[in-house]
Amino acid sequence: MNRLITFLMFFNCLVLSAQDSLNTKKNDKFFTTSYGLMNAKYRDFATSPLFYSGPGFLFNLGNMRMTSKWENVFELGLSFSLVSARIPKSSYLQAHTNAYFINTQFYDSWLIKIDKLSGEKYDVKLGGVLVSNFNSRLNPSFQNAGAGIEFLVNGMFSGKICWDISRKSEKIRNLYFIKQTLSPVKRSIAFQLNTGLLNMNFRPGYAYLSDGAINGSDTKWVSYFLSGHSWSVNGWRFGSRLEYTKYKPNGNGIKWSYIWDALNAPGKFESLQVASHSIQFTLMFNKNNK
Amino acid sequence: MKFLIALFSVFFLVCSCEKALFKPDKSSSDPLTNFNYLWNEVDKKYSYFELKNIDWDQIKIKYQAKITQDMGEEKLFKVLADMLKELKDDHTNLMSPFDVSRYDVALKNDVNFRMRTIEEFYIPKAMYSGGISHDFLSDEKIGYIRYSSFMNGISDATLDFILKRYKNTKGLILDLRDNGGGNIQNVPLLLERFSSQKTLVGYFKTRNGKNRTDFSEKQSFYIGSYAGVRYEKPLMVLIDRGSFSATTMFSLATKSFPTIKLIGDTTGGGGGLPNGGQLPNGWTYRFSISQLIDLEGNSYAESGVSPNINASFDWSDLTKDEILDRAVLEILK
Repeated sequence: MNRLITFLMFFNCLVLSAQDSLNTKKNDKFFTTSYGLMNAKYRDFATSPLFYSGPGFLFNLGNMRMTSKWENVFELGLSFSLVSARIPKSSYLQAHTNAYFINTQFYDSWLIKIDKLSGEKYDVKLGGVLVSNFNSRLNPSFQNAGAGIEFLVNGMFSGKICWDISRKSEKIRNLYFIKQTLSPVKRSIAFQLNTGLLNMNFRPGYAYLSDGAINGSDTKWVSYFLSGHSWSVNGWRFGSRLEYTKYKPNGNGIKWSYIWDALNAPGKFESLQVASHSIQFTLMFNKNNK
Repeated sequence: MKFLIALFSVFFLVCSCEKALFKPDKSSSDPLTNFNYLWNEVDKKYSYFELKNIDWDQIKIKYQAKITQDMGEEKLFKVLADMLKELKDDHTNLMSPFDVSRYDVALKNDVNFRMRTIEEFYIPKAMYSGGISHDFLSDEKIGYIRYSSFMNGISDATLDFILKRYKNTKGLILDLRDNGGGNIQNVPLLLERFSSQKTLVGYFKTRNGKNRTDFSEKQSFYIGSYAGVRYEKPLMVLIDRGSFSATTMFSLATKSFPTIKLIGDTTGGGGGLPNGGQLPNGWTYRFSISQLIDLEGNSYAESGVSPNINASFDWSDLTKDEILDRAVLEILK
């Protein structure tokens, strides 16, 4: 396992160091901040066969670099959802269980333009995404098993198609008696699909409760929660992003994204399944404007 | 435009794959599905089958015969609750919106504690500090401390205050009768105040496989020594059948300290730590998944830790607490 982690770190360093050789004259750098709403859904078979789902919000900080040859998107995100179990309807007295789902995510996407597949109006890019999550789920109904914690690390193959829908020249729109002059604007619509190639997860042990929780004498929270966890390389992860980006004349931009993510992390004993649908609004600040 | 339509179509097609990717929804109110789910979960993780000589397969046959497709939720609850009661374990409960199943070990034994007697005749002017009531006894020669639940948080400041108040006494009485347990982390936080050095007090082992005898290696259970205010003179710990779970763990741990004696009745047990989970119909459950073992390797804590000195409450005279009196005698002898 340590070899795998070392390989991933090495691979990441390699990709980062490749940046200069790929750099072109036209190099847009953005600082990004995103806000969004999401619907999260998960099921942890170690504690319940039921899906938990509910609304949440997310916040990301990131960095984006784009040239005519490649692009890199880096995001650090935090999301918080209040979820409820999907319990069958009772004719007697309805049960309800709720939980908090908190997710921190590291997302690093590197894509290179494939000239042979690209056209005048669209770019096709291929590359890889490294995505890592730290999930915590708090469900008071499960008492001693109420805190579920795991790490997920996925190395994914990624493909993106970006369609240039810029308005190149001024256009006058007649809307009944209202005449509107539309200025030239740079904008695009893109679709990215990520498929997990290397899927790793750090999940609880057989008993689900950590050794620290059982022997009580461990009062350090990290080992209290994580002793008994172990790494596994299994499962799958898929994700996709549909993005509409519009640039301002000053080089800044805004982006609307619909992001779908789904994963299965079997671990060594019981599966964790997570899916989320998010609508995200991103402000892009062009760092070249300095 | 065709390209954009194709792009959107692919995106929504990919998103809709989610249902196909995940295993089917397992939620169900079918009685047999819920019965089998609970039986299997207990079978996979319960920690006392062998020690209590429980034939879980036979129990399945006995209770599965009572499951019918059209039985109501109340009847299903009763069958599942009765099945769990066969484990004779108060760390095993089934929780529905209308009832909670329980074994009630304390009700199957004598009661040896009456708080009114203590409050009225022993500590009528007690101080209440955090979740702890306390006062002097026997002309300030003894300090009495009542800790009613390990659910009550223990702050360092509170313990410092209490132990400083009684530092000149000959001994302390810690009353843990009718203390049904709570947060296991409070066990070391309290006991390390009476410990002069880090001490091995027992072991835990946890179910780690599908066979009913599959357990992890023994995990050591240590009690440290608090670096600040401690009390190292005699400590009498009062226990009874109402002393359960974390209180049983505390009681077992005291056996490693020569200055501490247990007085009263055997504790109610609860030596295993319970987990938590949910059935396909939304009800929740818990049961023991570990065993507490003493230094000699014995796993008796589930049926209770016996006292060093036996004593019982005489209900014919409610002005006296014979167990507390015996502890006073032990300190002053």
